[in-house]
Amino acid sequence: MTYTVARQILRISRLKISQQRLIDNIDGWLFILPAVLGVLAFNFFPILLSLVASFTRWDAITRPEFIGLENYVTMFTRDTFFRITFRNTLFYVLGKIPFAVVLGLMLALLTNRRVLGINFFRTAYYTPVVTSTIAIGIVWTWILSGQFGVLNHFLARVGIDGPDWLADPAWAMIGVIIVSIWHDVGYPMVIYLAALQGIPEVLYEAAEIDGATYWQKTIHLTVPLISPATFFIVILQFISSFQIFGLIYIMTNGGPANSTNVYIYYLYQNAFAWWKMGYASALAWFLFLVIGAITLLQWKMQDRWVFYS
Amino acid sequence: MLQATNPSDKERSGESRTPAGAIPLSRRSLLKSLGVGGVSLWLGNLLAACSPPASRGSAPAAGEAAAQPVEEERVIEFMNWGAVEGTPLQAAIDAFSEATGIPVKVWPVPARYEDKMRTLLAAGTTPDVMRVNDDYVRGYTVKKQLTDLRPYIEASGLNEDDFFSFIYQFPMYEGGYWAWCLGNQPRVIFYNVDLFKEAGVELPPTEWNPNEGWTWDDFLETAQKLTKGEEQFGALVYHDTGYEQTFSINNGSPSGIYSEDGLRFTLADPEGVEAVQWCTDLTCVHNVQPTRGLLAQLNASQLFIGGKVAMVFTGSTTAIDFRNNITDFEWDIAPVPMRKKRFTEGSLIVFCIPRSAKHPDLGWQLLEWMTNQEMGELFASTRYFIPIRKSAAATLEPDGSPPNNVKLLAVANEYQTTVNFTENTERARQIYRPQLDLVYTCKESAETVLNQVRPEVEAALAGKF
Repeated sequence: MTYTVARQILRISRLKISQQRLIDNIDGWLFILPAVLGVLAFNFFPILLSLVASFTRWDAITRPEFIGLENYVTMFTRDTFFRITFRNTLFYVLGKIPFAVVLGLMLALLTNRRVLGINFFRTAYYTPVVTSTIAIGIVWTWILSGQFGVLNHFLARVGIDGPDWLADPAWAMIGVIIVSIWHDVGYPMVIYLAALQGIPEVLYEAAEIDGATYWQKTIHLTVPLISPATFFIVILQFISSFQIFGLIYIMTNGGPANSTNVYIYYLYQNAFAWWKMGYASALAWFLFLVIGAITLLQWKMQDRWVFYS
Repeated sequence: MLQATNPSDKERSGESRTPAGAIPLSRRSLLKSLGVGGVSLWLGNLLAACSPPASRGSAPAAGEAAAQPVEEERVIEFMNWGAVEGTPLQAAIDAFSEATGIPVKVWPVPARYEDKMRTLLAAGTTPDVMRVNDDYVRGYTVKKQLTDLRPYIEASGLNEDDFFSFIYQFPMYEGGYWAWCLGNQPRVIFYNVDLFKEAGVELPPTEWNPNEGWTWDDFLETAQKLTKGEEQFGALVYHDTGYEQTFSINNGSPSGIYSEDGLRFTLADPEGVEAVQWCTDLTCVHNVQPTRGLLAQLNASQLFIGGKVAMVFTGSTTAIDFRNNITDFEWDIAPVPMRKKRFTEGSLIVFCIPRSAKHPDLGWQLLEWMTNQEMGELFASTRYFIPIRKSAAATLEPDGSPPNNVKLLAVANEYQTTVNFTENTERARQIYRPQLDLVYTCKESAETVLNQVRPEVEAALAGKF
């Protein structure tokens, strides 16, 4: 009895506190209300709408027709392009992320020195990240040209007959990956740079006293201590790489022969070329689940390799 | 609905406790009022922005009735892709407004026209006249988005014999007439006269002989004579997808890419396969056509303008580009080469009156005006497109600047072929066209690729996926 009364009092007092807190914070709520409404109207509502649309057949003109799980069934049983584009996307993701992370770390190690003009190099390496994807795509299309491209010109100088990068189905995705790494590598570099500068100097001094070489310090000290940064970079890279679109749209349009047709590009084609809004929504939700599952898995596995000092 | 708050309401809410009913103004209440007011204003603006324009026939509020004109404003809203200003279309619109006193408001859509069109159709907020891609006319017709123009055509007393019949019949479907073609931009062979003379090669024919002469073999032989390694190519045919229909038809295919009912993928039939292979072999076997790799860097116009290609198969609209940019050599046009017959595909200049148009009658008045003799002559004289009216197309004459053989375009209008589009063909071509890259890059034969994709393409045509 006493326990029940005590709980009741606690509940009322919590309610009062909660109400009081709301009253106290009303000014703040009002200030953020326009932004909250904006997010609800332009983010939350469309997301919810796309979930509903994924269970419909909808051409964006006529009324959506409810078809239950048919879009999802089609995706897994009848749509060969779903498999092709998902496979291409996985190839891109697995081809890009290891290089982007390792190169980002190498650049960070290179630029983490106190030498004259280092800020210039840091800026130069980061510049592609803030450069328009459209511009990068157009310029690299020229660089990768089989006949006139600068890359093949230099390869020819060392006796290599370069491929027709973007016109050859066997090389097109590799070409896109190269461009994508060049475009994005500045971001992991900056994150790593911040992480490297957060490592106490005293740890390196102690290691040097123990006779550690540069390589040993890097492997046994630097890499573990920047593992939270690596974890952060890998998660972000997975999320963004699964959504590769801009470079594909500019450089290859998914060709040649669907060799660079990636998941989001296929989703875009379904939505805005063939006007299959319901099916495109289903594709979007499946990708959301895949990215969510991979991120969750990475989160769960961080205990095994991420070191928080 | 908002209602005035009466005193008893105030009493119940306790607001009347202050003298004379005044509400004490604190910082908090002021912020609340500003916040609520601001949010209301913002939401109001948001909803207003999303709502259709006031001129779209929404009923005026009671208090506004007196302020509105009694008669509805007669303005035609006209939507076209790209710029209209400075084009012959604008001249035709201006002439219409001057003659009828009906103003025309132009909605130019510089990019992503299809997105805009779909959105307007879905919202029911369309203009009165809309440009429509000829590929999609059937799709919009099947989805019942367009106004049937047959009653207007019948009331106008237009005679089909006055028009190029193939173009005239294009918008017909299930007894209705769902769009209106102003004209056509037929595909022909553009050639560099100087390169022919330099190589001592006989110029292509000027006449459109539907049954003989200027064959595929002649074309190949000419291209070979005009090719100089990788510096200069004799021909360019497969740079875009426009060749598929023309060359398969000219190779004896009865229907081109798709069967007449739009359910079979006839490009994969022997005539179609042979046509695709022949066009590709110009690169892979005969080396007289630029590679796809080169075409990824330089488009057909750039190659022709740069004197890198001697003959290119493209639409008549390119003539405007060539006239503006070619100053250092002479060029002209010739018929498409044939094997069993000589037809060509063109881009039709099609407009529709959407079902939700506010002024369909006025919209038709404008479209009919644009097809009259005077406007037809205007379009013909500017080479903007070849008008649908035969007598207007017949006024095409050389004007001292190329192409000299401009009358050929009017003849080409008589020998038109068009793809048998359905609402599913867009999906179908997204299946087979990327796979043709394997043929274009000389890795697979047309027969292998087209037969491989055939089941999937025909499933798409049947609407199964």
